[in-house]
Amino acid sequence: MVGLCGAALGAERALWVRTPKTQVLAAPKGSAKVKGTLPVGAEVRWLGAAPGAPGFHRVRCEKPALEGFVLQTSLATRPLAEETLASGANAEKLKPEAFASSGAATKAVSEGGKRYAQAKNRAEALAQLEALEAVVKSIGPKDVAAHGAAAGLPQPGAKR
Amino acid sequence: MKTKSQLLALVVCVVAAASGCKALQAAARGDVKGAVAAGGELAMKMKQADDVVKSRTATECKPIADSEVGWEEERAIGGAVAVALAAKTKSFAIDGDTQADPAALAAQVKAYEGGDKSKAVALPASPKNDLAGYVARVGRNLAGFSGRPDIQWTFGVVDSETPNAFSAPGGYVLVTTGLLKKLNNEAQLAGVLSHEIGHVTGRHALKLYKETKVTQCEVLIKVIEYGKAGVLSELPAPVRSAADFADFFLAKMKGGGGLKLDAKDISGKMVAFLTDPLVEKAIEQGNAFPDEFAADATAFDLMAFAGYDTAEYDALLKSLGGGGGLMEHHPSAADRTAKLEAMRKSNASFGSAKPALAQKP
Repeated sequence: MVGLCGAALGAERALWVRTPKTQVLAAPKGSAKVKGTLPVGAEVRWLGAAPGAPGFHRVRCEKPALEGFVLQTSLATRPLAEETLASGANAEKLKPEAFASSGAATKAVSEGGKRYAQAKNRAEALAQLEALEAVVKSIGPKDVAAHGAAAGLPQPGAKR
Repeated sequence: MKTKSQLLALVVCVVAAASGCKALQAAARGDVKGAVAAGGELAMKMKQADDVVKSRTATECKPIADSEVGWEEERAIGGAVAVALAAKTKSFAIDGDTQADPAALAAQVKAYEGGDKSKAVALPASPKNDLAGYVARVGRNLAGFSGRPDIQWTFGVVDSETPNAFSAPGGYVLVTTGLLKKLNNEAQLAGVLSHEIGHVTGRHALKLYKETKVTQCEVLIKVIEYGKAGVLSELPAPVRSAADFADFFLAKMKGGGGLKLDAKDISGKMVAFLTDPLVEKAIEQGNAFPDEFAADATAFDLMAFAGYDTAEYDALLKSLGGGGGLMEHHPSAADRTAKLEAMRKSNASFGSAKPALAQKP
């Protein structure tokens, strides 16, 4: 799956698809025609940020040949790690033990971390860390988008 | 006053590195021959034990350096390191029930983890908690564009006046209140968080972790062999304390499939046996310079892709200059900003539109 679209050429930058069935659109807007979809981990050539359409990037896939606009939130700037490829929508294709090893199955502070805290009498640091983990976990895409809009970061639908 | 023979015996003891040794007792009695013999016997036993340790280390510990650290092990050691870092620097900068009653917050988190996702864990409203939530939102946005977008990222603020930022394996990123005070804008915060995200995605701390595992493997073998030779008392007390789990933990460390630190039969003492020297090493040694530059490159890309002005990161590095805290164990600010500038010239920044976009796909 990784490298599906082929590596970036020369000095051109590459991006990697991070959300399942990522749509490649004919124009940088959500209502545009869908030219095709890309799987998690696919490597695409970055052709630039879409002018006048914040939150969209133009990309090209060599094989199968596909070029168009993709939402920024569907892309990563580095190749996806193994545990990411083994999580999310891909998880259903995996054996339970493989899923358990993926980042998606992670819950709170590890047992090892908890036992360390107990052995070192760090109950307060542990409770605070667990709280922070839960706080971050409860931050959804809407919260991130709202923050981005407030901070003036590129957001789909916003005017540049 | 000590006689010449007693002084000679004492020298034997020192040479044998033996406090409270038989040689010392003999010396106290003025028995020079006895002291020399006892010291020699002890030195011989230690030498033999050391030879075995050397041999076993080569065959049993070296392979650990080449073994992969899987996600579960990374997350396990990362949680312990995060607890250690927070406790070492002071504590997390969050207010509420936690300060007085950690159990109350733990119960709230447990309920959330138990399935009631409608009730997001909300810290009591306060300036500190607002800050923690803000840093978490900025960090979560940036981490989403990294190579590990879906791991359980955790961003926290540590109550410390020293300007610094840390990361731990498994997705933990901590910044100090001292550093936050030095930032001029959100782009600079994004730069700091992205740099630490770069260390996590690059698994840089795992290199130190593997080095620590090898070192501690050697310590365990030493404890075992000194125990067999009857000279365990010659080791320092903190090292000796590993004697009660040395055989068991060594077998676990050498086992295939990675070290399962979350397993029920692994005690907190064993986790601490790896965590504490790792934290010391990380603080004293830091990451290798190439890893620092790699983290800067990640910061550059994440900032640009998210829409921040990367020049703010350069400005922050220059303003912090050299010295302790964030810049300790790092390449100079001049070297770092020079590399960022080179990136700017050689690569298209993710945040900019390219001329090719004039053509419609």
